Formats: sequence, C-alpha cells, structure tokens
Amino acid sequence: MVFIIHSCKKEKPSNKTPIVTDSQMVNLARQWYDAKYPGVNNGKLTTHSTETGAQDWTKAFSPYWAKSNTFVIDSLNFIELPALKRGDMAMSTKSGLNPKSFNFSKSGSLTSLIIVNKNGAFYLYAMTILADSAYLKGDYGKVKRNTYRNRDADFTGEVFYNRMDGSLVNGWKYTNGLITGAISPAAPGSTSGQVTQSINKQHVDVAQETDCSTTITTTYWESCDYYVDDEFYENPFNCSYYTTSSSVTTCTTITSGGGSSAPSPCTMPTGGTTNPSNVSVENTKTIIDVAQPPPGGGSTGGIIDQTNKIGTAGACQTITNNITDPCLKAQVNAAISDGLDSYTSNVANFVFKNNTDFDLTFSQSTTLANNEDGATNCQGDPASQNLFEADVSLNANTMPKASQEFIAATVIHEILHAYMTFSGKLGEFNQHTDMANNYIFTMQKDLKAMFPAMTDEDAEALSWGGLGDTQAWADLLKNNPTLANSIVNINNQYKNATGTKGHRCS
Amino acid sequence: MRQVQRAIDVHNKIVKLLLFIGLLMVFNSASAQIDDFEFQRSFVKIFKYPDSLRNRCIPTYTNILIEVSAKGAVQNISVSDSAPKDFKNSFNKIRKSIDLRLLDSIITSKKLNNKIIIPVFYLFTPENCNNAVASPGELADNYYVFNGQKLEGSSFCLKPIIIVMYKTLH
Repeated sequence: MVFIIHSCKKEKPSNKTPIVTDSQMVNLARQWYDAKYPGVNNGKLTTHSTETGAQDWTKAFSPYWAKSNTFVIDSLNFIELPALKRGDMAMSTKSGLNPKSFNFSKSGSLTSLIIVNKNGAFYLYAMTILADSAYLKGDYGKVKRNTYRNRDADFTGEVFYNRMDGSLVNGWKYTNGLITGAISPAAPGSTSGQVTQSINKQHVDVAQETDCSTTITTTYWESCDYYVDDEFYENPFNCSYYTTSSSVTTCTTITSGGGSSAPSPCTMPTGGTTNPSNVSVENTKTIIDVAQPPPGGGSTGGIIDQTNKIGTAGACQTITNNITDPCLKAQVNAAISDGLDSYTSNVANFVFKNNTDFDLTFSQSTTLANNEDGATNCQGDPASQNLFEADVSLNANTMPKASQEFIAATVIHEILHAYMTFSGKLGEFNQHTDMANNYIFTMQKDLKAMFPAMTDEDAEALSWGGLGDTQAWADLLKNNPTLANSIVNINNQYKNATGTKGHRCS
Repeated sequence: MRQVQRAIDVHNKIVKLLLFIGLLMVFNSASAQIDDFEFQRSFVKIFKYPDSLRNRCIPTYTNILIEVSAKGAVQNISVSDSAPKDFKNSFNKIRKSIDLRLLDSIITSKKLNNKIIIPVFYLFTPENCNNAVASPGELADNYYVFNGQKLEGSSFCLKPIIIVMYKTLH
C-alpha cells in the first residue's frame, strides 16, 4: 500500500490573516489610522496646512471611510478609499507650469488611498492614476473608471504608488489596458531624459534587454484652510500653491524574440540597478508597447513593496501548478485553495505562497512506479533554509484513474512531506511516523473540508494511505486487523479505476 | 599486491577530495560576503538540477564566472569545467534567462570591471547520497577552468550558492 498521508498536532501557522468581516476590517484600519496619524484625520484644521515640500502626505489626504471598498489579493486584505484632499493635488508629466493657474479638474490625475493588512499590521499607500490625454479624449471624469483592481480596457497612462512620506514605492505604465512598463524610483544622480539600456552588445548572449528611461514627474499642490465643521473640505480659503517633483525610471524588457514586457515584479528594477556612469547610452530605442501583464499580484499592476513584502507573493508565483491533466490539476488547486479551511491549505499558502524564498511546484510524472502515487523532491540552502524548493509529482499513469478524493489525499500527503522537510524533519520513515502518530485527524479534517459529504470513516482511511511502513500501522494490523483491512479496502475503492467510491473525472 | 595498490589509490582519492573540499571551505570563508541573495534566488528558481545527475547521486562543485567589461556591463556568463556535462547543458539552456540585472548594484558599488566568481555547490543530504565524486583529481583540475581556459587575473568572489538535495519522498 503506497498512498498518502497526514494530520498534525502542530499548531496552525499563526500568521493567517484573522477572519473578520469587511466592516470589522475597516474599523480596525480606522483605529490604526487614528492612532498612527493623530490629529490629521479630523478634517477640521483651522490653520494653514502647507509645509514646504509637503512630503507628509497624511496632511494632504485623509481616507473617506464611508466609501471604503475591501477586497483580498494573495491572502492580504486591501481597503481602497477615496482620498479627501485638503485642497487639491495632481501629478503631471508636464513641468514648469504655474501651480496657481494649474487646472486640477483637467489634470487626468486621481489619487486614492490603499490600506493593506498583512498579518495584522496595516500599511498605507497613495495610488495616483495619471491618465494620458489619448485615453481621456477630453473626458476628464473617465479616469474614475479605474480602480486598484480594474483598469479600463483602453487605459493608457501611469499608476503610481507612494508611501505617505511621498516616496515612490513602484508604479506601472499602461498602454490600452496592458502593462508596458515598470516604474520605480530613479537612481540618485539620474537625469531627466536619460536612457539606460542593457544593450545586446553589452549583455552578450543574454536574450533580453531592458530599456529604462528616467523622467520627472511633477506634483501640483493646492493647500487650503477649512473651517472645523467642514468635514469634507468643501469650502476652502487661504489657498496656496506649489509643486514638488520626483525622478522615476520606467523600464520595459524586450526579449530577443521581439516581444516586450514589464520586468518581473519579483525583481522590480530599482533606480540603483543601473549605473549611469558605466552604462553608455548610444541610442534611444522606442519602448515597444506590446506586452502582457505580469502574473499574479502584478496582474492588476498593484503595489510591489519589497520592504514590507506586499505584492511580491503572487507576483513571484511561489506556488506553481504545472500539471496538465485537468483532473489532477483541479484537485491540486482545490487542496491548496486559499479559501479552504484546512491545515494543508494554510501550509501551502502561508509557508510557500506568501514567501518568495520558499517555492512549491506541482507536476506530473510518467516515471513513478505504479505503486507510487506521488513523490516529493526538496532542495534548499542548508544554512538558512532560504531558497527552499519542493517539487511534488503525481503519477500521471495511475492517478488520473483514481477518484478525486484519492488524488486530494495524495496531494495533502505530499504537501506535508514538503512542509516536514522544510521544518527540518528529514527522512521518509520519520515523516511517515509523524504523520501516522500525529496527523491522521488533521488530514481527515482537511479531506472533509474538501468533500463535506465524505464519511469520517472514509476520510480517516484515506488519511492512512502511504503510511504502511510505520509502526502505528503495524500496531493497527496487529491489534485491530478488521479496521486495518477496512482501511485498505476503502483506499482501493477510492483509488482503483473500477472502484465504487468517490468521484472520478472520467 | 594489486589489492593493496588499489586500496592506496582509493585512499589517495579520498585524501585528495577531502583536501580539495577543505580548500573550498577556506576559499568560501575568505570570499566577500556581499549580499547577492536576490541573484542567488533568481538563479535557483530557474535552474533545475538535472534528474540524470540527481538520480545517480552525482553532486556538482563548480563556479559561475561572470565577465564584466571595463564599463561595468556583463559580457558573458559561464560555469567552470568541473561541472558535469549534464549540469553544463542544463545551465546553458537557462543561461540567457539568468537575471544579471540583479548584479548591477554590486558591480556599481564595487566598481567591478573584470570578473565575478560565484561558487556553486549542489550536494546531497547524508541520508540521500554520499556526495562522492568519481574523479576528484579531475574536479580539482577544472574548478577554475572555463571552456578549457584557465582563469587568470583578478576576480571578485561572491557568496557561494549551496543547495542540498533531499531524498525523494513518497
């Protein structure tokens, strides 16, 4: 008997985002905001609010809590809120304009606030969407169609994410709804108009080149006073005007095949990755505006904050399902589903998916023996356990004929192997012993979470799969042979193509 | 007599291997501890150790050589001839996908304009394989040879990439 796995007496990972309602999340965020930025969110300033540079954006923006919109991406809770502005603000690629005569209503710039909750901690960002005139076509309200998660199909322009100290986190350039460039802070000393390239002749035999151009983005500010009862800043007075500016670098990667894309968000170009003094600039290639959005968290052109590890998990695809058999693939996806209340799913999502240093890959194999339902190969850096990778293979010859329940049990077994190896418990026998002694109930529970109609008896039987080499199984055979035989029979009924238990894809 | 000679040969090979590994450890500890973790991560993500080596318990002790121009641009990347043939083949397949931009900040900050060496060790855990090398002498001879050319001149050493491979689990 060579099947599957299991359960655990270990504590569940404690870093799972607590399950709270949307309104609770907003309330928690508001409590955090009020404590973090006391006195700046009451909207009742009676004194002039300008400061030179105005790089404390919390004094310019405050969240419009009543219009919050919550959603989850890569297990992180997001709250998107309109920004209440004390005056006005707009980004522009045009510099040198008189800020006092700047027409904010026709700027094509819209700033919202994004609050991210990660493991209970909150992070606040400003998202500024700067639409191109070719997209707006004179309809300046059109920019409001774009949100954090959704861009208009024909959106052309840029999206910037800033921290509340005004520093740029990252951004994305769009052309007709597609991401065509990754925006990052420019390296110190970069000059506007500068084009840096990893030109073919410099990166010999490297099949891709990255074109980066540095530009100045100007932010126009209107700062006003308001009466204490003007909660929504509708009646400004004593307004003043000024500008701030920042250098940003926009990079597009062009492959030798002619395609182009934004550089991987796993390795967001920082301004410091190019050396203006060493990289010569010989030509000014036009950035090719044909690209697909990067995968995962970057699919919407979201926040990629390497410091706080926000937006990096999905973007870096730390769980990869390379299985081609649709039935096997579906069961893998089901077992690791983020919304599933199961230990295995938590392990997959909070150990592997949310950490770019630990990868989990699923594939199918035609070289496994018929009595091997799955196999797990792991590797890593022994000193730090960084760079840990686990490859789970499912038997492509036998498993597609098995029931979905049996496949799921196998997937759970293999994920536990990966997690135990990651945790330092080495050796198949040791791990099987741990599974048999401590994880049967957990696997049973996980299977029931996936297949609520499954009986406890069947779920427990499938949980014993693959643990025939353990002392616990030997004891069961000796002390309760009837139960042991029943477990074997149940497994066979779920595994065999002609078995009567479970659901088969074909 | 033949058996005695054979035993001596085996003994000499083991001593040579141990000496070599000892030298590697010295070399490693003396190398610059510049944080090239992002590059390491990028490399490990795209390089898959060949099954042909993994299944036969063949480890790899090699160096990655990155040649940098006088202007600080990466010009070539290769592995030393101590790498098994299948390792080199796998490396060459992903060579063009290696994200060399991740070294730009190091090249810039250290003003590098010659060669970068990154030691690479793919090893097995003890319960898996014994990390034996068929020809330790050949390994030592080729550790600093790249496509038949001995490494000459100064080079900048980065932290080694050390990956251990665990026994396959079922």
